[in-house]
Amino acid sequence: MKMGNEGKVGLMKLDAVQGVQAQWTEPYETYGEGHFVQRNAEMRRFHESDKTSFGFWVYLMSDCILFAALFATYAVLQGATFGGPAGHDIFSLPFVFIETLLLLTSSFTAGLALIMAYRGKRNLVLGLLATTLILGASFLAMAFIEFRSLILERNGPQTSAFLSAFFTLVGTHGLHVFLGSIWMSFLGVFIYLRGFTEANVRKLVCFTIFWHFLDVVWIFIFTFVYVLGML
Amino acid sequence: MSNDHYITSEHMEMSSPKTYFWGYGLSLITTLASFGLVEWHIVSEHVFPEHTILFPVIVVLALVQCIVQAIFFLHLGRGLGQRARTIVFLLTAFIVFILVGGSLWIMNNLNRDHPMTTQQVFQSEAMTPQEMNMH
Repeated sequence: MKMGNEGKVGLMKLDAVQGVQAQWTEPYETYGEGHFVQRNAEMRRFHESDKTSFGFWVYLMSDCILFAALFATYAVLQGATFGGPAGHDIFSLPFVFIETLLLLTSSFTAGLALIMAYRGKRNLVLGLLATTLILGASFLAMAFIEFRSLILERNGPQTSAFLSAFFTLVGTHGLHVFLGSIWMSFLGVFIYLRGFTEANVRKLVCFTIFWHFLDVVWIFIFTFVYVLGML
Repeated sequence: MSNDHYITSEHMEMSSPKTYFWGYGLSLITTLASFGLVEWHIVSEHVFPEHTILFPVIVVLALVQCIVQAIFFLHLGRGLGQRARTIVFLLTAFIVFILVGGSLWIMNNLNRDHPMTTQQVFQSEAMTPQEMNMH
């Protein structure tokens, strides 16, 4: 707990104000799971305000700016099809819809995994992480199939500025999902071996934030690239 | 100092799966609406819903889903532990707005002043798409 201590002290000063208010809210014992819930809520409270997850959040926001640059590039080059196909010639809405459902559901199961970790349910967490991994891998497989068929039909990134921008934007997102899947696999092994240690819970917190973030980026990809590209 | 000070109903709320079910349900609805409207537009041979109405609706649906996931999945809000992250998020949203909006604004103005398609640019340099692909 060394890393977060300073942050915690800082928060305690702030909490002195909040504390007065907290005493007026219901005591934690009334929440059923009693002591257990209290301990887990405290843990969650700690992680959501500690330096690691905040620093990780700042990194994600800088990643967000990277994606913004790719989105801007895509938006500018969208019409530059250079005699090649336009978006509505190569995109398939049902295909992308299934991809979207896979990623959205995996984001949901990743969130549930974190909740279950706070309740100390190891097998459930491992099951949810495995589900997340399978959904994420299915998403990647679909993205791979799409890229492969495009390249085989000679609609690869070298065909037009539109396709270069498309492959860069969607490929960068896919790369993030791929790295996240590897991270998730290792995290599952660590949790299986060592349980919910301080370090493992911290990693799980960062991982779920990362995975939710990727789904938020995908909202904009499916909207601005695929759905609006079909108009 | 007792840790009890940390526990408020807000934190209890956060450690329940309820927010995730809400977030998932609302995201599903906005996703379905977005795909459904465009599918409808295509099936009706680009007549209904009208293009001018459809475009802003789809963009708003995306923004709504982004906000839903920010609140229910990423737990952004005004709470004590969330505040710093929310401020960074809003600042980033502002930068993204300048970056994307500014790029589009500038490039559209360039296109208006020099109405030349990429095709024409390459023709003026005596290159065809086929030649380009050979390289």
